[in-house]
Amino acid sequence: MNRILAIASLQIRAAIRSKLFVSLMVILVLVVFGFPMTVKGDGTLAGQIKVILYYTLGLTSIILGITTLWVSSGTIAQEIESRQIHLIAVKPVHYFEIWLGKWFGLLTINAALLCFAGLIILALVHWNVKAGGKNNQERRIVKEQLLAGRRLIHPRDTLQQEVFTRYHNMLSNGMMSPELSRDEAFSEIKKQLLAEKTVIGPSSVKKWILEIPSFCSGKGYEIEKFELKVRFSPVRKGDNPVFGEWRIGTERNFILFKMTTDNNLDGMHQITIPLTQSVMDTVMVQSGEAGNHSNRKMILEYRNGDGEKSRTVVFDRERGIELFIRESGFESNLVRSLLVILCRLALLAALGLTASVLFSFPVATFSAFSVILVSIVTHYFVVMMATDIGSCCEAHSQKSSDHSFWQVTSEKTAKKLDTIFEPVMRLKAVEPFSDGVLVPWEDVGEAVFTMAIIYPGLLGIGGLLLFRRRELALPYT
Amino acid sequence: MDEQKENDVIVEVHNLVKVFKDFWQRPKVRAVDGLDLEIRRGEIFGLLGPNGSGKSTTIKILLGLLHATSGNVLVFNRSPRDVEIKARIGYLPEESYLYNYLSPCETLNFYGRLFDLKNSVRKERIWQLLEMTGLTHAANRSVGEFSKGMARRVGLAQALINDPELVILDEPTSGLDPVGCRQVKDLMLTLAKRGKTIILSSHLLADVEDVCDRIAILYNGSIKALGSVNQLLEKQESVRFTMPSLSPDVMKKVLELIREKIGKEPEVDHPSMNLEQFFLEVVEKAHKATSQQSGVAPTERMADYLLIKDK
Ligand SMILES: Nc1ncnc2c1ncn2[C@@H]1O[C@H](COP(=O)(O)OP(=O)(O)O)[C@@H](O)[C@H]1O
Ligand SMILES: [Mg+2]
Repeated sequence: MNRILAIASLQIRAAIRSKLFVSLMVILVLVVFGFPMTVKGDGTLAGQIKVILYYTLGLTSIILGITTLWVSSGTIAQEIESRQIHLIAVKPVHYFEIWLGKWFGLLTINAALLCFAGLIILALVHWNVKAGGKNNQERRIVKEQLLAGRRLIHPRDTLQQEVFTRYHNMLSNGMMSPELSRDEAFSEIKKQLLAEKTVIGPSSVKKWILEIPSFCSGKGYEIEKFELKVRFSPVRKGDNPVFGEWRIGTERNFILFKMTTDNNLDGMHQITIPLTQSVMDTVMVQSGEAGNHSNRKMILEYRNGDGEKSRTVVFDRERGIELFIRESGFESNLVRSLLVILCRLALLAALGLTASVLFSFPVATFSAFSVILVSIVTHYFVVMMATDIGSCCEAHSQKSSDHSFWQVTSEKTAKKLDTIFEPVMRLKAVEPFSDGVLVPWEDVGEAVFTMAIIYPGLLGIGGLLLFRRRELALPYT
Repeated sequence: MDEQKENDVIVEVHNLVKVFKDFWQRPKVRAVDGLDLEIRRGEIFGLLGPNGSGKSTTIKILLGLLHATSGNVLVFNRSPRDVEIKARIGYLPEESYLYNYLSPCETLNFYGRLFDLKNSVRKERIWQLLEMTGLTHAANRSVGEFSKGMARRVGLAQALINDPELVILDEPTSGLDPVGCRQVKDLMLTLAKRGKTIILSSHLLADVEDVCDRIAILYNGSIKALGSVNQLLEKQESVRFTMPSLSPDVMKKVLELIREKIGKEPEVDHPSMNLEQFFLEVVEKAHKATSQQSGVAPTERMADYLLIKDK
């Protein structure tokens, strides 16, 4: 342990003495203070704060990410090249101790810099809220909706299951055309179902079920912590306004909310549906009274107006219905976001170190960056493929059948590869944080587990197996 | 008896070959070629040879920094790549591969921690070593600003921080001033007296001649001569006297006697002080005249812990 700490503190000292630490601090200050001033929000205080949160935290994580990858992929490789490793390797030090020591060192540096960035962000936001904002109302909204950690609840997604049942129904009813392969049939059914789920024509009705998580205590809930938002866009036919009626509550007890949009506006509409005390009472207390608190549900129903007065609307698949429940304050959400970012940096450090064990300096850096690039591109490719199937509800393409061999294999490889990257890519910090959405402790735990333990562990073990076979007195292998 | 002998062989090398290969695994240089060595406890062993004869390569194989292409190498009866034995070895590389941003004090502290030395022991040894190498006044400057010789001294101190049983010094006197050279030689003698084993490599014959018990002369990766210095250098057929100057007639008588006995003219000259001695004297004088130091302070002190006899 002493040896690991010695190497870690050497790494930290190197960062400080080489002025890397100070220059990063200066860059962070410039970015965190400077950048938001050049970007204008939508003119409101909320818009401004959102921009500040997104860019400061986002840029901080990008800057530290690149630096970490750069520094870590250089360390061991450069010590081998400059032969400083000769004096370490002849001491009673295991190779894993060198690796771990460097890793802990980098982690500590990053933690310190993230703390620093966090403090600046806090100060900046505090100052902006105080100085900006035309009235108290605006400030209150910012505090409640942005400077908070609100848990985001989406309607239960049963798509996969429904695809499955429908497929088997059609199969047993003999309605399935025999030319379709199973995969093709699945994607066809999926498209159909998605259309049914998101597109609501005049006079149709659609129901969503929102499950209230068990941590919201039944009787003591605070109504101002809840907010229900819906997002939809009218289909571009006719010039009626969208007109319809929402029912919110339980099966028995609900309120009605009549909705009319401005005449013939196109594009995305976002509406906050008011939640009344009595409805929330039934949702929070009565529905859970059976003793089963984990079972509380809020039922949401939209009945579109008839064709004369209204028109077809499409609900955003991802963000159509959102229920926010404020769960934590701004500061603790910031801390959790920073922890997730720190875990990501830990993974980058591990990747860089392993690269630096295998290759000499510029090659190591280059290969580490390539891995990151490939993972990002692959992930977005896979995400795009997934949404591609979802979004084309009308344009019924015949292309699906004449996929070339290469296309199929590349898609398959990408999917296989993405199973490695997905657990890491899934954990987000900057996006939810800047939207005032909760970064839950579960995510932090998962980040620590995957990005700071499992993946670095695998990378480290892989690197060390090869490191041990390396002759350290040979600069290149 | 057998066990005793086993115990006393610190380094055993048998038919060692090292071939450096290029990227495609094609042989490039045969740096060590069939080397056999046996180094025993308490010995000062000199590896001698011209530049590029394979001295450093042999040493790096003994330290596990390079892997032998073929042959057997045992250090303390273990593989040189065994981490356990490293605690008993001190190594001074051919050049000082130190961290430029650290001060000598921090450097020694860092390597001391790698040996897992206790805090108090480490502190004490660091100061003793700094004093021994004459770097006390520069203890907090960064090594990056040091001259080659000063850095070399830090390297030497670093090699001794664990009070090693086996000290491996690769050209220890390169870059050192004569005072430093003398000190290093004294140090080696002191350590050997305490039962430590020392391997040094050098191409400077004077280094080796003064201190080594046994030497091996390498050329092109194989041993051309091996034995004790006296054995190798002794010339049975000539003798030399050194005495105070004689008065002319005594001198005449002596020469006549010799001529008569051997039937040949003997060589006569006045021995001059060698440059090493002269230099040492001048520096010593200058040191006594000044108190400020920017380079290395000459000192005769040995680190105390290195003088303690093993029980
Ligand atoms: N890493 C290396 N790659 C290729 N050749 C090397 C390497 N290190 C040493 N050599 C070669 O091995 C030979 C012996 O070198 P070395 O052991 O350093 O000599 P010296 O006796 O001067 O210490 C030299 O010809 C040198 O060029
Ligand atoms: Mg050499």
